[in-house]
Amino acid sequence: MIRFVLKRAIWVAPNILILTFLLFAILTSWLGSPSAMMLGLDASPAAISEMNRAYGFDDPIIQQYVRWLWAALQGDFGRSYATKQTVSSMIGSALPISIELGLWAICLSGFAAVGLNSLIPRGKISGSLISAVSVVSITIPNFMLGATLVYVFAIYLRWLPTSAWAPWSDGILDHLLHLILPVATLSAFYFGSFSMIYRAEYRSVMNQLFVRVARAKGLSATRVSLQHILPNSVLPVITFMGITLGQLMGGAVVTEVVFSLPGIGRTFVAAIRGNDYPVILAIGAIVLTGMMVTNLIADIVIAWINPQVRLSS
Amino acid sequence: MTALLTIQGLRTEFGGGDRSIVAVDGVDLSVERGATLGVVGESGCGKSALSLSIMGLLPEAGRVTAGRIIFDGRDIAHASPAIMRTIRGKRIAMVFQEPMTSLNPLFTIGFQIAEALREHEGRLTDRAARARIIDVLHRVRIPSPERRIDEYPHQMSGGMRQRVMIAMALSCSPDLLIADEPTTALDVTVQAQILDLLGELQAQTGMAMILITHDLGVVAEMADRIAVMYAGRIVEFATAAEIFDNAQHPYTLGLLGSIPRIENDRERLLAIEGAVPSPLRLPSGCRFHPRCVFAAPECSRADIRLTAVDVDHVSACLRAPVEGIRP
Amino acid sequence: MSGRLFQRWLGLSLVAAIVLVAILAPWLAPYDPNMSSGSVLSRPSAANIIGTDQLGRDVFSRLLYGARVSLVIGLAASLVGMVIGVPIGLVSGYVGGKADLAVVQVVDILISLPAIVMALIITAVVGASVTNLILILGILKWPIIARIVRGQVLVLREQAFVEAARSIGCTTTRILARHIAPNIMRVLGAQFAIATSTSIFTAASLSFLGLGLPPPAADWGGMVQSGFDYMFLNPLLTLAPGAAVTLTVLSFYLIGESAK
Repeated sequence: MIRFVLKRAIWVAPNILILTFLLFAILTSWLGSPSAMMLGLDASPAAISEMNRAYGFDDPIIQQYVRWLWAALQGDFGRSYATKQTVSSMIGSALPISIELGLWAICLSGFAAVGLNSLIPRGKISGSLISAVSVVSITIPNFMLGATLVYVFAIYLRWLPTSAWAPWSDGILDHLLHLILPVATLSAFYFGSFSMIYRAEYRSVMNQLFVRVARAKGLSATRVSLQHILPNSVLPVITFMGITLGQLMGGAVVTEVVFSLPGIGRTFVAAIRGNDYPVILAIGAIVLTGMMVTNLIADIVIAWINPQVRLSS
Repeated sequence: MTALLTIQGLRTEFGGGDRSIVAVDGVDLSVERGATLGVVGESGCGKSALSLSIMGLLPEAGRVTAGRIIFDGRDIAHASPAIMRTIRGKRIAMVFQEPMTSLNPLFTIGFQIAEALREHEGRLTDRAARARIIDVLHRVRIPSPERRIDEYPHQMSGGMRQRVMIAMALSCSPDLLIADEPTTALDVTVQAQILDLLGELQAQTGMAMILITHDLGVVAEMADRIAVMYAGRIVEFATAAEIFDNAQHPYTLGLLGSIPRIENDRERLLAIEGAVPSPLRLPSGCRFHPRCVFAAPECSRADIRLTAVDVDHVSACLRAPVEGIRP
Repeated sequence: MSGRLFQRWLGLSLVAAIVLVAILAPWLAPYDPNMSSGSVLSRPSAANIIGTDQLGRDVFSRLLYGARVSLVIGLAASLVGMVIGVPIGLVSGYVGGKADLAVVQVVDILISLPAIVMALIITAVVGASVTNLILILGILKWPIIARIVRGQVLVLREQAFVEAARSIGCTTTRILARHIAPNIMRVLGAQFAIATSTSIFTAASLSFLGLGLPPPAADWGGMVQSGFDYMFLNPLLTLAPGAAVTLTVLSFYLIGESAK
């Protein structure tokens, strides 16, 4: 098991370097010299080249990348052109919000997808109902679902706040009330994906002989489903959860914008609109790294569930 | 004393409407306590559907549409899931054909045997359960069971896994063990060991057994009575001795012919030509007549029923006894 | 089984209806989609059945024209994804070896990248226009298409008729074009529909984030965004174009799923 983890980790590290280098190279070469942006439109060419020299923007791209990476590893991503704040402080305040939102959504949708599909008997009506809900929740864009929920629960029924973020310091209740609609919006999409993946796998595991053997022991249908089918069918869902969690490092972009949540996603959109190069680069790199790492974690969890991998060392 | 299991007019269908397939078509059988019944036939003849009907484990598309399955005085053909759960694993246990896929790859074999024990024997301390499992692993001759109990299926050979399956089936001391092709997937040397084991265990525990196989050789030494099935029906049912010495159905003769025997290897083997008919297009009359070397014109028309040819011997052949008309 | 048939029937008829609307938009729309009537943010009425937006334009007319943008971007992006992904998948699956290994690893990484974040970065670099959007979305689609094509080829490669073609000396190109490609048409069709569905989804999300087509294009995602601030006045400004996107995404998805 330890060897397995090491092997995977050694494989992931160079991938992170390659991906972040590509990102760095593309952004630096396409967005033009940062000096021009920092100095503004009326900067003289002389001033720009002076600054280029001073900051090393003329150096080969790989040298610039290594410099950036070295600083980034120490938590220094530079300053935002737009807000003049350090990028790390911006990310420091935005990332926890995105992660909290994402974890709620992944956990709720994961539990709902696995639970509903394992426990509800495969009758004609309940089965097609779950597939219909799954299909709709995959195809409805987050902005549409978010807008609908805001209209129904915040504007029409006035049960819940429309938007914005209430930090924990506002009290737990307020915090959670503000989270309900965004979490529901984000969960819907993941519920659909998880449910489709899990159902397909469940169906194939259901026909395995060991399931019949479990029933032949006299176990109840629920127990057979939870003890024997579930652990064998949940693996692809875990893989997908890993990918999803990694993607959420970039924030639930659309959902955060719909509900005006100051997470990574909204920060990222603002940076893109304002060509805020250090912020785009930092968030891009965090997404890529987060994704590779969460994928790795998912692989390890799957290996750990499977005794054949766990016991070989 | 009444039989432990009596099956009357059992009919099991898959699918529905016009396209339904009748896998078991009017089968009558009985098994006495402590006795062994062999059920023999080619694959696709309805043997497995028969055993799954008894266990109440038919897949979703399948159901029992007629007949009774009387186990220990009670009809369980349509018993509720709750009642079947108290019977399955406890009073009727089953061993399947594929030991390689019979065990859940994610759990230790000890855990998987314990599941059956805990389901039927109420509260059991971990220590007591462990002791019982080690004991039952001993009885199926698994070496060093104290260590093996914590192993996972992938760490065991096919023969070992089949022993685990037998241990699991025996753990709650069932009255009836259904073994569905228990040795087919195993190496020849292991096959004999497993059969010997089953025979010994039966002698020790006095349980009844239904041994399902496509190979008459497998049941030769173990079965008291043998039922030969073809295309969903029983075509011949007799004591084992009668089947081997005095078979009256051409299909049984064909199956016997496919067992190579040293003493009469000069005799021409009666191999069966052709294939089992598709359940969607069954021949009229005797279902075996298109493949039968004795077939006469009336075989395709008559409705042929099991008729007594001797004491304790019934056969569904119009032309029985076939003594004089060997082709 | 009948459920599948129903899905396909539903998907096909919805797509047919949306295509008709897109083609007939100039005749169906009561107003010019970009012309202001003067009355800003009017509520739904007989004259403007959904109302007018913050610039006084008739939202119903814009909704009808919006079908054009969505369909063109979705279908073209999906086509771009196929043009890149199918050959890569075919070759990678058929030839195997190191090239295949490289393709699989690149594809594995690309597939797990979040589409919206990647689309945003590329949009930031190249800027938003119809052509750029189509290329961006197409580039995001090819890995999944390549992976599916590769999977199909791996199965087909071992089959008797391909073996036979190889044994009588057919060239690799000929085997791929003549024997393998026709056998994956059905799967390709399904993938084309699903890629169209997800491209429309992503394109609408980009427009909603303000990084889609520049105004005054009648574009559903953008309409949702601009209507969002007036949700209290007239929720239909947001919900009607949102429903249009959902319906379009859903209908292509149904076709794709039912053909899998």
